[in-house]
Amino acid sequence: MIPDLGNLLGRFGAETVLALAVPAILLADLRGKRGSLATATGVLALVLALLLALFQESASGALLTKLLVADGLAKVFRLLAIGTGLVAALAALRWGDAERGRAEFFVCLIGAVLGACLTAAANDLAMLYIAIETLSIGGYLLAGFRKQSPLGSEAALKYVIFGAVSSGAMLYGMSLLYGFAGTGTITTPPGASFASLEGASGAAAGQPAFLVAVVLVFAGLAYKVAAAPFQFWCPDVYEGAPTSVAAFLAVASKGAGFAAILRFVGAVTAGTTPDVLASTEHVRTILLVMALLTMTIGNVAALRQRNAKRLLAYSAIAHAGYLLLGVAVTTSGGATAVVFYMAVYLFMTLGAFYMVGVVERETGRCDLDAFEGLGFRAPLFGVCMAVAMIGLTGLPPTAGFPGKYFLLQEVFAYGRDHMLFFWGGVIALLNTVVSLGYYARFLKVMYLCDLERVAQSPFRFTGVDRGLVVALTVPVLLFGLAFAGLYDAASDLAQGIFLAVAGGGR
Amino acid sequence: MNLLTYTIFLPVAGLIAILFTKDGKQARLIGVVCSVILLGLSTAVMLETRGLAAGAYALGVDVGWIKLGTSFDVHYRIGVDGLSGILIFLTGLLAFSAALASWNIENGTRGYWAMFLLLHTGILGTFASLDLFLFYVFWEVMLLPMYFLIGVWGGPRRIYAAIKFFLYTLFGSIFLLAGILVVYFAVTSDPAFTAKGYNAFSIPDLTAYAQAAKESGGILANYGSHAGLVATLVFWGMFVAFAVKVPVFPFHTWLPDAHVEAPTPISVILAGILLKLGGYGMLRINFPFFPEVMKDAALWIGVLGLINIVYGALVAMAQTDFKKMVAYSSVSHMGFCLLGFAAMTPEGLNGAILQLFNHGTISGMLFLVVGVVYDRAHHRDLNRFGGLMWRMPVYGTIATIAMFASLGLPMLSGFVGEFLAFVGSYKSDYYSGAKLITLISTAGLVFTAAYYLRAIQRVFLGKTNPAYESFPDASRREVWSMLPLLAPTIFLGLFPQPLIAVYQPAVTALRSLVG
Repeated sequence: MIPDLGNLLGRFGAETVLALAVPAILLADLRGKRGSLATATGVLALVLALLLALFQESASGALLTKLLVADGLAKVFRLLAIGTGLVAALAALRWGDAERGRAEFFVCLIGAVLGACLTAAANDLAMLYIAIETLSIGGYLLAGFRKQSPLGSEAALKYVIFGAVSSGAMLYGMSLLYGFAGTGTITTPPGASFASLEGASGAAAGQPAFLVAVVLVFAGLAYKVAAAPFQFWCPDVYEGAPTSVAAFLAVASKGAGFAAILRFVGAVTAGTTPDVLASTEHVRTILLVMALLTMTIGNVAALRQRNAKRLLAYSAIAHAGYLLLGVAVTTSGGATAVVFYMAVYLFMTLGAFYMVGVVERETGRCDLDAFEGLGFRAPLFGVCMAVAMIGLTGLPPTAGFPGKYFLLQEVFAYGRDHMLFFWGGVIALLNTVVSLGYYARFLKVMYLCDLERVAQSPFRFTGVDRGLVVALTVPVLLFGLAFAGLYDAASDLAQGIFLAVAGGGR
Repeated sequence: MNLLTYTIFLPVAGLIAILFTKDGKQARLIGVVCSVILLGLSTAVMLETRGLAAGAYALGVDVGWIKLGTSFDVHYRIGVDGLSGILIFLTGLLAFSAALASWNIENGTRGYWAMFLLLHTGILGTFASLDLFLFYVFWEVMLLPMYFLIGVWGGPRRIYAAIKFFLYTLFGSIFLLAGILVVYFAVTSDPAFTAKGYNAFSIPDLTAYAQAAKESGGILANYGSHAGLVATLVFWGMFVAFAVKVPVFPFHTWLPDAHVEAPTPISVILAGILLKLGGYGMLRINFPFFPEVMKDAALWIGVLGLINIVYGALVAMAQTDFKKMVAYSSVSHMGFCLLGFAAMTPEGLNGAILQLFNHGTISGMLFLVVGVVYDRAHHRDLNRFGGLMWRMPVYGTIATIAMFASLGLPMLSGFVGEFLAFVGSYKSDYYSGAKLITLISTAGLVFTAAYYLRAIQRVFLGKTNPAYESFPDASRREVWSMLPLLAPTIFLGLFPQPLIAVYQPAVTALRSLVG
């Protein structure tokens, strides 16, 4: 164990910092006025963790007695979680979301970030479960952080109850899988020689119960990413939670869920025996149907929303659907597309949530009418919001376009021999048109209004707001026109997830 | 850097300049100056395409843009042949006219001109693209400025019209995207394609490949076991993408709303150029990629052309709103293009392409005509005007010429294109039933004459409505905005050959590919 520890600290420096930050914040809260020292500790820990995560080398091989891996997937989703956590923390401070106890807020937030990092790195079913629960418990507490608001309490309660049920299902599925495989380890990294689900699924794949176990585990993960039919909590939680928390749930929580989904689906579809190929075919079909269902439910329901946060919640559901398409094809190209999309989704969604939060802070409302005329009252705000909405729709010249393009590319590639996927691609494209119906409503209220009437009422959009929003918008435009570098990086990071797959792999 | 690149990105340079302006007057000046330069550049671009061999492109640029792996290799690949050359020239003409007609825009002037210029980069880039990915990017870049131009500066129902335009066009273009993706996988999985050094996004490469594979299952032969079905689906999917822009019945319903609600200069660009992009896309991508499907589809395209002509004319006849009548006349006139496309005869294609150009100038002029009278009367009800010819002789003359050109009076340009399209369609043996379809669609000519003559009579002849006694004649600016469109209307009516000579090689190339 001792030699492993040095290695572990080297690979998981960011996680270590986050874990140490939790007691440090609680101690710091005893000193300093109104939690200012605790706040400083929290922000510092997040910045330090982000820096460490940026420069941390990924390594092959499993660590901590096979519980964790430090591969590319873990690295990229760790960055995503910590980055989102930092933006959410800054946003919460600017909007006073954390006023009722800054130390508590930061402890919950950093705990959730830690959970998200570990979810992406977990290589063991039990570890995965613990990591997801760490992420979830932080999330439950944060969702209900507005204790005085009935919406906040409702949000937290819904989140907890749905979470408990799906966790239970997941745990049951995990126990079944353990029974089949005789091991809880998910993957065998290149170079390692221990047993894992990858090898065991070959023997078990022929049995119907194996598929049942996979679906049960998948239910828990689908709940985390808000995929249908486990999406019901999402709009209520986003609406009731502070906006900064909603942004965190929409990006970091979903990202961690997708990292786990990629790793898990990669493991249970590994192998080339006829039984595995047959069961992989079932898994693909289930995932495709789930993806199409999720995006259609999200997009159609979003059309009827008047509240910006609920609208973005349904949009987040729809995006879980698009991302699932990339998983459903179970190719390295698909995994690459998921990582690529997640990266651009981060910028677009965080930008959109941040701007909704600014409007909420300035007007006290977050229905769509609160955005009236903002395109002229605050031109920079209008342009950035428009870029985010066009990006989420998936139109060029924003990064949303290559994001959707690569996801669909994999679907149509697979659809070459499977007409089901061909039609799935067409349905996904039609969903894009539906989604324009609600994303364009932001453009409508911001720009298509009475020009003379709105010009008089100014809108406070401060320097810090500007800096943050521009920093989140520029990558959306940049990656829209020059995405080769990002794609190559995503491709490197996603290597090996579906490598063992025959038939689907290209 | 070459002339074509300058032409495409000049408006973007203007847009950046506008960002640094302080007030609307400077923005307007920049916008108008850009449009004037654009007219010059686009004329030069068209002149470059004279004397090209069939299937050759002038002013080509081919620079790598985004390369991932081995087969995903997007280029900034542009070039013009006669077909895109005349349409780029048309863009320059209409940009000039529309810029002069935009002089009066008072609210949010900087934003208006910024969007106006961005729109032109989208249009010019689409005409010039020889790379499918680039084509799609420019195609979508057009949507947003148009949405804002209609939605912010349009009439009372502008918001509805703007989103309807946006949704319809996006609905169409997703099928184009699906087509691009499917074609990409079909060709890259054929070793012969890569062995020849072809690029999976290059329009000329894909056209050549489709030509070679015509007998052996077409461009999608390698797209799995359902290749035949998928080829038909993709052909019609791409057709829908372009048909929405043309617009072809039943995808035309966005057009009356958008044209009526858009401000005058934007109606001019919508009718004059955006509709042409649909026809251009069919000729550049849709038909050459799927020659074997086109053979079976021609009948249906002919039928759709017939419906457009007759239905459009009948609906136009029922309108009392001047602008709506002109809008529906566009539906009817774009039907002639479809009829000519389906025929695939030299006369039919020549006529159809000439009709693309002529409809651009004539309908642009008609929308300006409506704009002039709307500026004065603040309504467009055909029944409330009368005798304007005596009060506004210059305006009345230009308007009457435009309407006669549109209804196809000989000696004016509209006649030449329509006549060629009809003759070509009647002579066609590309699909059976061409003669019958042509004969029925001539009925559209009678209806067209009916609604234009009635409009001339109600607006310009008869007793002058006392309320409009004091109307001033068209101002110098208004006349200048119509002149660049009036001149080719008269000139091409008498001497169409110089323009036909420019795009003739493109017709030859198209016929050898598809016919």
